[in-house]
Amino acid sequence: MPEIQAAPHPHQAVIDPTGRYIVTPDLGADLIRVFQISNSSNDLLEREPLKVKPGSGPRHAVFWTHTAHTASNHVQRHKGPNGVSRHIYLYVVTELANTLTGYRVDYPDNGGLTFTEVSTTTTFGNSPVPDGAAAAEIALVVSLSESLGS
Amino acid sequence: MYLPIIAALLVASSKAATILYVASYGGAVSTLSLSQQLLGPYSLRKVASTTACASNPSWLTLDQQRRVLYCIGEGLDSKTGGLTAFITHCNGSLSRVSATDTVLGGVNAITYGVGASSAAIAIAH
Repeated sequence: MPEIQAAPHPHQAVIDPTGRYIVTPDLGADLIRVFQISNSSNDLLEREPLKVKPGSGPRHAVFWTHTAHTASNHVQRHKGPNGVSRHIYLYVVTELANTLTGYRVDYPDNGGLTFTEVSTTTTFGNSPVPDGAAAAEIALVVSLSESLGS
Repeated sequence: MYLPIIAALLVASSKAATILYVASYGGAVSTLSLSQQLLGPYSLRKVASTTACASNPSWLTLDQQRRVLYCIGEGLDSKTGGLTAFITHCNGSLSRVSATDTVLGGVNAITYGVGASSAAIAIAH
C-alpha cells in the first residue's frame, strides 16, 4: 500500500452549491467525507461519506450544477417549476488511480448527501496512463454554447 | 475603500492591474501585480512580500468581501501547523492581524458562515 494511504489525508475542503455541506476528498482513506453545516452555528456534523474505489486516492473534487431550461411541452423527469430541471454533480479526481469520476448528488429529506456514479474515465482520456502519473487538480469550465443548447 | 473602483474606471485609458498572492513553502507570501500595456504585452512584478505566515505556507484563501487573506501553514518544519490572517491593502501589502496554531498538515481551506456576520474556516489536514 502506498505510504499516503497508511492514514487519512483529507486534501481539500469544498462547499456544495446549496452552501449547506462541506465535502473533503480523503486521499488516505478512499472516502469523500461529508459534513453538514449546522443551521444555527458554524459547527460541522459528520454524515455518511461516499466510498470511492479502494486504492484510488481521491484528492480534489468540484461540484457542477446543471440547469436545463426546456419548453413546457417537452416531457421530462425531475421537472421543476417553469420547466427548469436542475441536477447537481460532483466530479472527483484521484491521485493514485488517475481517474476522473462523476457522481449525481441528491439531497434526501433526512439530511446528508447521496451519490450515484454516472461516469468514469482516466485523466488521460483515451490515451494510456503513463507510469508515475499522479493527478493533482481539477477545474471546471462550462462552455456557453453547451449551456444554451441544453 | 474606493480606490479599487477608481482604478477600474481608469482601465480604458491606461493599464489594468490584477493582484496575485503567492504562498511558498519557504516562508514567504508575496504579492505580484499583473499588468498589461493597453492592448500590449503583460508584465508580472513583485510589489510586496511578508514572512509573517507561520509554519510553511501551503494555501491561501481570500475573503474578498472582508478583505482578509487567510494563510494556512502546513508545518513541514515545525511541531504545529498555522493559520494566519492578513488584512489586504490596495498597494498589495499585507498586514498580519491574527494567528493561531493548528494541527499539522493543513493543505486547503474554505471560508463559510451561517448568517451575514458570522465567519468560519474549514481546513483540510
